[in-house]
Amino acid sequence: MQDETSLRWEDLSIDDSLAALPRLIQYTQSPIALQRLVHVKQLSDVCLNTDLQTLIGAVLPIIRKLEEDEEYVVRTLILETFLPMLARMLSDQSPEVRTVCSSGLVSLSKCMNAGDLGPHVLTVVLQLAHDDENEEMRMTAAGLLADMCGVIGADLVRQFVAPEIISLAEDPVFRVRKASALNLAKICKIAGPADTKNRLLPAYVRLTRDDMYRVRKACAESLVEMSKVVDSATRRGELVSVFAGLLDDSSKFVRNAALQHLGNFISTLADDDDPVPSLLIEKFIGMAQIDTGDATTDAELRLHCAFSFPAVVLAVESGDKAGKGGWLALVDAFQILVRDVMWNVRKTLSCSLHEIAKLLEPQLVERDLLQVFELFLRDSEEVKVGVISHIYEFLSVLSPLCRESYLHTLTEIFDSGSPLNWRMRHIVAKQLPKLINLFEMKSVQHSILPLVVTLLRDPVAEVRTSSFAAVASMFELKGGNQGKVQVEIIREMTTLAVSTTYVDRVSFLCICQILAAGHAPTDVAEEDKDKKKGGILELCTMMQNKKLLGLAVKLKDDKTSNVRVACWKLLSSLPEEFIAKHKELKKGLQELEDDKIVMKTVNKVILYPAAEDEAEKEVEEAEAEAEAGEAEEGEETVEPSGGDEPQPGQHHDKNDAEEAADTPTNSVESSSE
Amino acid sequence: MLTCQPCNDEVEEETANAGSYDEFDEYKYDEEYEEDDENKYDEDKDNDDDEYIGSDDEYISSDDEYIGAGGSDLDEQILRLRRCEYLRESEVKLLCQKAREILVDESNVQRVDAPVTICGDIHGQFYDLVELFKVGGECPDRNYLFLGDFVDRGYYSVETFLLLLALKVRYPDRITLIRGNHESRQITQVYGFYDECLRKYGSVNVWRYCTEIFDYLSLSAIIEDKIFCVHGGLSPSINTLDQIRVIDRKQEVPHDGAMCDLMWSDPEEIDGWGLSPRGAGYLFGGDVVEMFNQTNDLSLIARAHQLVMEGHRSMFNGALTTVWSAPNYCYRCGNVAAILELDENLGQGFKIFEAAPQETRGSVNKNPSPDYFL
Repeated sequence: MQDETSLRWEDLSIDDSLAALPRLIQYTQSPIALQRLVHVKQLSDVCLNTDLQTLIGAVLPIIRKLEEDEEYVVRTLILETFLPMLARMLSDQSPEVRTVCSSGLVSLSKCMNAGDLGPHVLTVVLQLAHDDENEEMRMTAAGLLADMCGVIGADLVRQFVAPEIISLAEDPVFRVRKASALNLAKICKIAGPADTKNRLLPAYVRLTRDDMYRVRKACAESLVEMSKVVDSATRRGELVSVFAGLLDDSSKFVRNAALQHLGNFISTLADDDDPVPSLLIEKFIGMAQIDTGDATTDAELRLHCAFSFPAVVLAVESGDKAGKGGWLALVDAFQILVRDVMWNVRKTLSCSLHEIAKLLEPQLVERDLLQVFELFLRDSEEVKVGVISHIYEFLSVLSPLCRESYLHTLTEIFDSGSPLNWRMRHIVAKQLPKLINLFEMKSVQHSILPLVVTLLRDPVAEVRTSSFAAVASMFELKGGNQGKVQVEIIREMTTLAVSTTYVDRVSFLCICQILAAGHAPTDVAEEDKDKKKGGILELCTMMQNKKLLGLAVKLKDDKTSNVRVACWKLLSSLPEEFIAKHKELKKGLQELEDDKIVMKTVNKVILYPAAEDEAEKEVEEAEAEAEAGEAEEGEETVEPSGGDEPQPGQHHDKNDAEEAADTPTNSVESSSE
Repeated sequence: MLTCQPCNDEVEEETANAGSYDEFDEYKYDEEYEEDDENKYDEDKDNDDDEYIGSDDEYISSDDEYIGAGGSDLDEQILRLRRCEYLRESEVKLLCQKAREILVDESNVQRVDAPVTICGDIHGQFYDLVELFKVGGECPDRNYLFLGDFVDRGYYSVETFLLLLALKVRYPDRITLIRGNHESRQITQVYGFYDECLRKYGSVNVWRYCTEIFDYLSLSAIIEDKIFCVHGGLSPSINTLDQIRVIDRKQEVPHDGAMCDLMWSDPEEIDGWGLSPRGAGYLFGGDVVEMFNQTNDLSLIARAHQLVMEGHRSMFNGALTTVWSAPNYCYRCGNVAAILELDENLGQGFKIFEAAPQETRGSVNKNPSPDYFL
């Protein structure tokens, strides 16, 4: 921003040819405070003549900037201008406008002084809450009170918001009561436990017994939120009995809404360390075979039941201090749901089976979940994908012995299913680096290695690429038989390196690059950088000793340029100190950096607008000359290589500053025909 | 045509007669001359154009992502395009300017080295193009030759063409784009690209930039002097590749003549030449192909242009092959797609793939797989 004292008179003139809005947009961003001030004053008028789209798209961003204006006068004006406007628009007939204004008011409040909130903002909302003529306004007020209480703080909430929402909860119009029911929990959270218990909760409990079923339904929908903001005694006492009432409500809409939220409600009981009331468990397991008379509702409720099953298991197990087996109460319902006719119910459970497995004792997993695991593996592709996506997590909870007996499933996943469904193979390939740590070295050698070898030649590029990390992990495996696995991996990699198919040769170089980066999971911890660096050097040395890097550098002369690009990527990723010690690697890298075809692919391309005028060009040239004098900004040579000429040696010919100077200008000339 | 049958009921075969040429010519006159009058590279004007507030919520106008005064990083643009976010109008203009510099130097029979992967029609099916790259490998890891028909029909012609064009500018010798019959001002006004540009940018500027680039796209390619690649097929007025080389291609796709035929013709089990039901181009038989391949010392003609339910189809004892790369064409034909991979020794292999699964299709992702909430 310019120094104001240096402004000339021309700067103070205003382009009067502009229409109101563009003019406003331009001058509210002026470096001159006066111009901002004058135009902020016009904001309100302009806004009134502007459609909503433009208001949101063009005007609101300006306001956000002006809220942080360095001049307090401007900030004050924004407040004085906009609050009345927002207040007017808050009572707009269109609900969309009211919604936008509400969120606008809330975000405006966040930028205001705490002292201003009461008189300037809260009063506006309270007026709205007292609009006896229009119920829409009172509903909007209920939402706003809840949304604002985080901003205005506990004191104002207790003093003004709490009585207001309580009064709205007793509104003669049921839609206002419903809005209050949906918003009470947010207010309780800020008001604190005492006010919640003594004032707000009683109002809420009254709403749960409202004459209108839609108000009670809103209570069923908001009970989970309420449960999160009350203390455990209230939760287990008052709320459980309220919930039980709603589950037995005379209206089926209320009952169904309560059932939909039952699992979530039970999960809020998880940390209380007492058994989950058996009444709730009974209702929950009943959902697995629910019969409301309407098939669609039943299917929906079973899906809700399936979705919240693991959370309920968690709550039941954590409340089962005596070890009586909370799972036992649920297992029958679980077995029914995993055989549900609706595939989406089964898919939900298939996706979360590993989560349940983590919560149960291993012997229970092996007794009750293994057969389900197998069941899902034989299910349709969209169900099967759930267990397969988490096969590592599931297998890792099994005892080692049991786990080994499931090794064959990995192979079966590949043999079954449509060959076009490559995502299944991809999902397994991605988990292999972790999976190999779960099995005996012998199993890795005899079962997983052949799998990896197959994946390395998968017809789908994405699958093949995802198997590289598994090869790298196996190369680094430690423990008995480790030598044998490594020998076979090296043999495999060598086969790729000398393959007649360029894709294989590229794969070889990519695996080497992954190895050299130390990305494999058996690597040392991230925080220990020196150790990691040492580990990488060690790995590079091992790759050198095992002749892998020798094979790699030979590919610098490959007839297929894609292979040479991969070769450059590998060599340039090796630690400099390592390269420096090995002449052939250094020479290979240098040759590749003189390879125009390779460099054209790896160098960055920046597009420059073609018609930069002469003045700008001169500036660039002048800058470039200045740089030439210093000859140090190596990276600059890379950035502007937008010209058509390849820029060989982007990292290493750093000192050629003249070239750096030429490049952007070249680009400009070449673009402007 | 046998190859078109399965879809004929639902997806009408496009014809050359769509729209009125008179209207079109008039339009062209106006626009072209207006373009000449204005300062072509007036950046201020571009910025004004960008003030447009789109109703399309896919349009993400983020200043943070834009490299300031100097220029824009193509890699960053490619990343955005891969996420199916379209570029700003000013970025498109710049990209097209650069693309034109590259394309103007290409031959009508552009030489391409093996290894390369040949792809057929895409038709704005952006997420299926992403799937294609997952199956075939990303550019520039693999080299690609696209046989045209990037736009129309699908929902994302803008993103599809701009991604391919950005890759072309970024890696000029790793990807080759040749022209299909849909890369035309007239056809795109009927089959969707024009409307899509208007909807996404609120003006037809982007459509104008893109259609101008269409005129610069090469007409055909030749791989290692052995495999001739073209969108449609052969022309009775073309016997040798040199006759293609001398065509002045920098124009709208004509109604008839060699350039039109290359983009419109279809192979058919007939002798000699036949009239095309499409109203443009010709039908050509096995003897024509045999003669053409012999005259030009070719082993194969690879072309696209016709839906094949199996993704690819070989004809005339392997002298010609059709490659189709839009799976579940128009989101309802139920076909698989194919790409033809040629290795460094010209060994051929087809890769078959299905449409990208629903959950990978960003904007229509209404039914995500349940992720768990513990």
